[in-house]
Amino acid sequence: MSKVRLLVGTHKGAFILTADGTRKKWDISGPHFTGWDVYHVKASPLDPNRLYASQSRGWFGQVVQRSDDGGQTWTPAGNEFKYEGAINTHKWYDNSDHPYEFLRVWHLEPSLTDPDTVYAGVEDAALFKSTDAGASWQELDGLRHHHTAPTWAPGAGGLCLHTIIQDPTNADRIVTAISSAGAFRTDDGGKTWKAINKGLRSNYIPDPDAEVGHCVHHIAMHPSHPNVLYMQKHWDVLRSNDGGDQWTEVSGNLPTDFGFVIDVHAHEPETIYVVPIKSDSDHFVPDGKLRVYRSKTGGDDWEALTKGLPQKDCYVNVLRDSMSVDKLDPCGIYFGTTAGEVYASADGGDSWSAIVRDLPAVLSVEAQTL
Amino acid sequence: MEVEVEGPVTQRAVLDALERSYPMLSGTIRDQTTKKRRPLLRFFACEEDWSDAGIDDPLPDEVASGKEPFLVIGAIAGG
Repeated sequence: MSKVRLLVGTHKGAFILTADGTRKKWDISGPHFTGWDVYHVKASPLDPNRLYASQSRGWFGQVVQRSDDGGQTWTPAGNEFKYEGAINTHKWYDNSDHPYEFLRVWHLEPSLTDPDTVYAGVEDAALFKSTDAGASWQELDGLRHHHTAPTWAPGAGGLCLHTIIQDPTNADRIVTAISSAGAFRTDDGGKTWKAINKGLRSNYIPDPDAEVGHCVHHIAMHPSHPNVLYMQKHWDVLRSNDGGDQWTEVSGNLPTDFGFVIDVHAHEPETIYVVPIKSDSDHFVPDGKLRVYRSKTGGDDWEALTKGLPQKDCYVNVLRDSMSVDKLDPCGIYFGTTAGEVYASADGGDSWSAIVRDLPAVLSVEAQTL
Repeated sequence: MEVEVEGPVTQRAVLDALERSYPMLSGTIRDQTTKKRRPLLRFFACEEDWSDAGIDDPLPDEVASGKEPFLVIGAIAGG
């Protein structure tokens, strides 16, 4: 019988949750890296026991950890993230020019073709690549030298590259997203990059239709439809049918289109999930109700999924990397909250249950189907 | 721990020597590239706070001679 393993990063360590294919009883191990921010943990799609974890802390900086036994033991890998070439500047909160300075790894994306190759999205925004299982890192600096980079400004969480999507049909195509610069795509393996923000409209910036400056919170893709991208922006949910060249808003009947997470059903490329958040000033679910919204039409037409989720006095947030799906049938959906719960649905979102409560604030959730 | 330092004994020289002896500490006490101190670590020597001193300023003779320690202290802070 298949198993599911959840890799959960939190504000104070990482946890690993495992269950058999029924997904009813979960075993929990952790905390790993106690006391550290673990922004992300993700497994190689080629070697399910090869895990990469990003731990960081104000005291001791950034560490990348690697496991070759599914998270039972860990080894520190390289922690030197050196920007290539001259250090350019980006805009600071007061609009002054601020030199790029490495702070932490937000997202680790293992390669689809080589278990020793992994990408890292970092703050200040840049994309790094390791081909030796995390021991050393090289910047793909074409992105940071995009002609718009000097105008990029940080969101409240910093100038972070938080989304990395590899096209399974084209190894040279990668889509990234940066808060609050926007989305970017390379079609030559990271040498050159194109801003892919046409159709995004952000009323909180001087030019709402600007080439960059949009606070993209997350992008998701179904591997069988790599040209179809779904985006949760600061405000607005959008889709693109052409790899990001043009975006169309699909917020439809959502109660609010602010949010962080967005993900796609494992077997239905037009079924997508978001968790609406009240507003940019109130980072919690509206009306005290934790509701996942599902669209089976690729957007516009949304239904609230509430069975098993708290429907009163709930004021949690669900952060951008905190939703994931497994590949079982029916598809399992998982998300973690800033109050430390991880919720699971083993029926595509029709019903939910908390599989763990009272963890530190959840920063990321990744599901593995074993 | 004790480290051997050639030339002027400064913060930079002491931490360079420390990281040579213990490579796993590279990038922990200070940023790998900028050499800036981690914000929640502080440096003390001879009952003085050296955290914001120049990294190439000479440390006290007592530290250079090994009589007094150069202290790297993690801030007592929550969150």
